[in-house]
Amino acid sequence: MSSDSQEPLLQVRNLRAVYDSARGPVHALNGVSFTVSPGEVLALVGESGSGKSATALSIMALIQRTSGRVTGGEVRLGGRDLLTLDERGRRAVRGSEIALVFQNPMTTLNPTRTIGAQLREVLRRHLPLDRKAADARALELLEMVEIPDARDRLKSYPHQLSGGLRQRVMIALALSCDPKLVIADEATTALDVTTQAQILRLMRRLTTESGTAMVVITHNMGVVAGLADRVAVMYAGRIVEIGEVRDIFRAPRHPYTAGLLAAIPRMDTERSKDLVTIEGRPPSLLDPKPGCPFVERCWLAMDKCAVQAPEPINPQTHSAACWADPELVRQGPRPLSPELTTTGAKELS
Amino acid sequence: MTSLDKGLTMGVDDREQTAPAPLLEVDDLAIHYRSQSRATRRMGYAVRAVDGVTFSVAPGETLGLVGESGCGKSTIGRAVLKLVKPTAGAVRFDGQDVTQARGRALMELRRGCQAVFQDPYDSLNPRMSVGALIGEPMVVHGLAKGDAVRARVGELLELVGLNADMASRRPAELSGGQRQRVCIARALAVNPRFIVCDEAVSALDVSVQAQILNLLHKLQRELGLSYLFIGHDLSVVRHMSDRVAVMYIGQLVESADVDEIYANPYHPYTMSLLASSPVPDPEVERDRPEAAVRGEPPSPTNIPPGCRFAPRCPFAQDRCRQEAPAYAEVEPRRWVACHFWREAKAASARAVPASAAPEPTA
Repeated sequence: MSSDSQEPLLQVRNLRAVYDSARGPVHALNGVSFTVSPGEVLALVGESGSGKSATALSIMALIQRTSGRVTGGEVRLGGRDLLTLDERGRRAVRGSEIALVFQNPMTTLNPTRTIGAQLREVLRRHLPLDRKAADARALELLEMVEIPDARDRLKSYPHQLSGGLRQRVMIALALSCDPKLVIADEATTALDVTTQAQILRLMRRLTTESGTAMVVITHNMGVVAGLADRVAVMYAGRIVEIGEVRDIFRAPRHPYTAGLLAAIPRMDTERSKDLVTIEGRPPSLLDPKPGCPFVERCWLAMDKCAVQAPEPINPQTHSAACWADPELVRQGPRPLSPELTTTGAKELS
Repeated sequence: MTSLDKGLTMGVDDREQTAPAPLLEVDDLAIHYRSQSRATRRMGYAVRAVDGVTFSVAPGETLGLVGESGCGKSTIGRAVLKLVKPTAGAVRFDGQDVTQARGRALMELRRGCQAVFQDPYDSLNPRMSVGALIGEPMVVHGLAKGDAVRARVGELLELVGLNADMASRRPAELSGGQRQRVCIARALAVNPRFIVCDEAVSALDVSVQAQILNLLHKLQRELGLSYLFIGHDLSVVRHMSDRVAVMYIGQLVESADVDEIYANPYHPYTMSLLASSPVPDPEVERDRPEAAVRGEPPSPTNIPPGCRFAPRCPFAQDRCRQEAPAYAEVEPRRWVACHFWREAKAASARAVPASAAPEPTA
């Protein structure tokens, strides 16, 4: 779905952000760069605290509503830098050009208003529609997200719907103004497996049909495999690897990606064998050290890695921010050293 | 886990031998909750969280229990631990009736059967040190005093892969993975034979999850533990279990040896669960057929008559909508609750859903 000739829709360049904490600024994003083409689905993956949600909040210019702020970089959507817009300009962009789908639809939907009223409100805020036209469009949207008995559902309150239906309503809200980009932050994480499969299929179909680009934030590699065209792997506030989904899964180039993929139990993993683990834990983001952030957990670490940060990734190709020989990464994870067994005895040494 | 490793389990090789006496037996267990609302209560509505569940776990064996949220799998775990009172049926641990246990017998039960829950942030008292948290169960059960407690805490910390000097820390200073290790050490403090792991790794990041799964395997090998491993991630449950039971709205629909049930599901719900689970492989995911099941599970307050899965089942006939199928052993060690399991089995053998068969990963 991605195409090299197309001008990227979203261009994030060297994005930096910090959160204020009692112990000083937490450097949540340390130079994040990537692009998303029209109609493309990019997955941002990584473990908790790696900067996935901070990236989404920064793009939406919502991070300053938390304890965070953007400290550098650019977020260009269709040529405009969103970070330099005033609040009025940002509000115009949010909803009509970029829309968000969050994990928990129960906290994002207003419990005191019907689904129809909430859809109508969003539609009329952003589009020149009268009440009747907005009603018609709301019905159309619910039908588009495959909600059964859509006409009756317009009169329902959020608590009257199941989790899967609520998430469908959220997707309908997100798509209501034909945005160019949808950011889905763990949008299927709270759902059951059979419901999740249905929602993923729906999201895939809608983006294909409407040409909407999507940034999918998830920690579930199965979801990534099914939904993404390209994948960006985040670690300690950086993108450590980016590439087409098949390349990332078949031939990861960063040791962290390789470790992450190897740590997932699969339907054909030999059960008597221990799973591959990544020992240790991510570095503190309170005072980032020079060098590669993964150095202490990497089985391929060299002296150079501790002092000199690797070249950042090139968002246009399959690339990794790593000094190691790609051939060694391909051979797969090894334990750090013999005394470091898989029990993680040195987790806090 | 091979049968050699675990000694007492029934592996493929020694299936012919007589089975050891089960450590845990759950017999026709039912747990109904009264409805919260007075109006519906008067109409006789109840939430049938668990409705006629039967299974057993042998010493050293892991039984995986899978199903979607709200199906009642955690409630079963709580009944085994005597944290909820069953409406009907029996739970026997080592031959003793759990539901009737009082006083000494209850203490014995608590020593034998421990639990590790999903959220290590909620399960540890933030005001207590790690050492006090792990030592407390020993003191409560009168297993050790003073210096002996301290020494045993150190041993347990090392056993779960933490440094002994972590005893002085508080939960807030630990990562999620370390907290879960402390929860496991605390469960092990009374030398239990059985641990209920209720979504014990679901809140953890992938790399930490792998560490905890390896630890649970190691402890089972070394201490001969039995687990009831409750989870919703089918790959994780497969990795941990010898046998797997699948639950749907308060009832078991199928159980079998792990390789059997994953390669050859007989119940249409097991098939759809397997077909819906995301697989971390783009080739498999892109070729995935249309979602095998439509709709969502009905609420346990409003259970359909007949088979509970019938409204969503591709094999359902009129009989399914009228008559609930019995949960029966249709082949040795294979239990199914379905009128038409033969037809379903034959159809699935023809179709082989994308993720039901183990997929090679490059």
